[in-house]
Amino acid sequence: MQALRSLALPCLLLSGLVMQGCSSILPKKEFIPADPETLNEWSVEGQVSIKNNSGKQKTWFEYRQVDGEYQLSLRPDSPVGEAKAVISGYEGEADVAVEVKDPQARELADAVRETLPMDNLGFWLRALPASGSAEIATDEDQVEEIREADWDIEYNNYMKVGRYRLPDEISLQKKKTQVDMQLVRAETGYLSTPCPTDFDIEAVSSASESNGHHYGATIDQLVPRTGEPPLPRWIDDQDFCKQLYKVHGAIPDSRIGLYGPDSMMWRLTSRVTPAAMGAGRALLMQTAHPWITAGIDEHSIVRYDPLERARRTFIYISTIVYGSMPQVMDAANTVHKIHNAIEGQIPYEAGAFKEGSHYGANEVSAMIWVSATLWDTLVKMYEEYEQPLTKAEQDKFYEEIKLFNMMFGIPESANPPNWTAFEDYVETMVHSPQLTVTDNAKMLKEDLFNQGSIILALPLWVQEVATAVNLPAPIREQYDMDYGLWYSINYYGWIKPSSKLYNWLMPDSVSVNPVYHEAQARLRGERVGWYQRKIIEAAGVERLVN
Amino acid sequence: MKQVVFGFLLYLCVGIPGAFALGIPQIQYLSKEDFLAQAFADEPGWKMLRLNRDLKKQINRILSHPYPAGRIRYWHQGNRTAWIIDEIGKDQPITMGIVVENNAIVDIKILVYREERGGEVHEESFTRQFANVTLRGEGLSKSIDGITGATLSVNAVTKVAEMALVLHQLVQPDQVAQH
Repeated sequence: MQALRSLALPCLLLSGLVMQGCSSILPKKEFIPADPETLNEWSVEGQVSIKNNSGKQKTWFEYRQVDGEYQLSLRPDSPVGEAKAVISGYEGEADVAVEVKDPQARELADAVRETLPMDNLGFWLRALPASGSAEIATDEDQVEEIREADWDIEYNNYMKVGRYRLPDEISLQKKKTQVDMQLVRAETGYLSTPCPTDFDIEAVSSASESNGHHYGATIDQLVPRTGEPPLPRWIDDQDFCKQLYKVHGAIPDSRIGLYGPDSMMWRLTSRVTPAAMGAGRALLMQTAHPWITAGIDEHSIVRYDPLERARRTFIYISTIVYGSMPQVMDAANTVHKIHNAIEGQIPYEAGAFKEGSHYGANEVSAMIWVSATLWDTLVKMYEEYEQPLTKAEQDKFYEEIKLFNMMFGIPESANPPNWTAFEDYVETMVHSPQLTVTDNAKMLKEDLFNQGSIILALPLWVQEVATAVNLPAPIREQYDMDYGLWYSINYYGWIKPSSKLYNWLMPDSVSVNPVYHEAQARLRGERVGWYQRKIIEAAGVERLVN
Repeated sequence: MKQVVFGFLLYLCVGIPGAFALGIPQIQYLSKEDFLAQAFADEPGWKMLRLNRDLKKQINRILSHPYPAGRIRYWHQGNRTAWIIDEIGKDQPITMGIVVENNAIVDIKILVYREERGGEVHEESFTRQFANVTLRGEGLSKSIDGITGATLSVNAVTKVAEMALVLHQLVQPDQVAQH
């Protein structure tokens, strides 16, 4: 018996790894990077060592370029924090300026400036030739070597950052000088502005924004007492960017991002269990809104590929919650663009919404509802699986939700003003004709929980039970979901206790969201650990918020 | 018992993420090397074209947004040039290859398509419309027929075709000195 027991763990681990291996035969598409020449605002950071006749120098650095203007910040003692020296100039030009903030960094700054060809560095860091006289060796569209200006530059490895592939191991040689660079992370846009560079914030800053709604008025606007649908308030590019500018200017450290390790947002989303157990609840509350179902029917891949949709939602939401400011802005702009294309007419009468009435994804009331389903569910599940929140914690979290909503262009004044009002809003919505489960929404639920996959059968059944138990009763009844003794016995008898046990049993490296670990690694200027990397890669990206 | 529970949970952690492994939609129709091999009989030379302020303004007008790069690399042989340009369709860049000779488009190929919808722009029935198209005033000499459901991708290809024609003119020997 003892021998069998000792075999159980390796066997289970092995079968898990086999499944992991099997996943590689799923239709995984090749990563085809965009041209790094089109990077207009970007940065890379890592470590550089310089070896020549004068000795050896080693430092952490950040190279940042905006519209051709670059800054090379040197941090000899730590990968993050204040730079001790900054070398700046314009790409392709020989003139450089050196600012030494710590006299001890003088020698290092001089060595870097004298050794590295600063006019070419911005190109070489992207594996691009600096001039037409360069010799380039490539293998399958990937640059392996550049010989230019007496330098021999070898690219030993690459990292995938967003839609780009940038070098992360570079070796530069020139006569008796050897320079080695190990890059940890990169940003590929939105360094100087939160919106596309042609957006003119001055032109719209004078436009007034309705402000100062009191509690009752906001709820009435979102859920009119007449039972009619709310008056649509569309978010155009200008409204959207105005909100982003407000946030962009207010965040002191762009590396931390919107929230940071002290936030309620990171605390509540860091544990895997509450979010995982609430996923079905949040989705069915969303699709109870006829606009959402119509949008999914006409524009989304949910019906035929719900996992892909879940994967993308996970990527965008995780990036907004855990990303650095440039990453947050990139995700927000991408989602806004996707939403711009989602519009149409409701094809049938559905509760408060008349047949033929116009719907669109970039509308304030609809987006507030989608956001509300996420955060109301998360708090409910967190309190159930972790611990109840105090009033102060709820209020703090709600302020952070408002910040999240601004990333979709929703002005702060359009939200219910505080947590109590937010709870009232959710409760009012649940009982309003705005939430009407259509036949298409019911089909969506069936498709979601019946994927026809043996591997997913148990997790999806567990998800269905957890969803049925935790959905607000009026919505559950509209979906015709079973909720009887059998579900109660299963949920309270073993699903919930075993999920809690999971949290207790697992080390943080496993039970805590891998994106949280990746964000923490970014704050330390490091790459996240092996296990989290593998989990993030399973979501289809090499790195999310590193 | 604890070992078994731990093992089962570990199985869930390792196995389920594996089952979720799905890729970002993108299709490579042609590699850069293959495109250049099709465009030129022999191995072409390559150069960089710096985008000065006036040229950037002209390109920005064509694309209806700022072009992000400060220079463009191109390949050439005789009077023929080839350009590989990324342009956003809906929210992802489409990588296009354009071959130009004597101020007229010889061929357009979609090298990489990264959007979910609108990929029909790679089909020859669409791209052959550009054959022999030249510049006329601020636009192309021929109107390009669209594709239902692929408007943004069609616009991106049409704009990049115009951009390549403008750039080709500039790198012709009689224009280089002026530029």
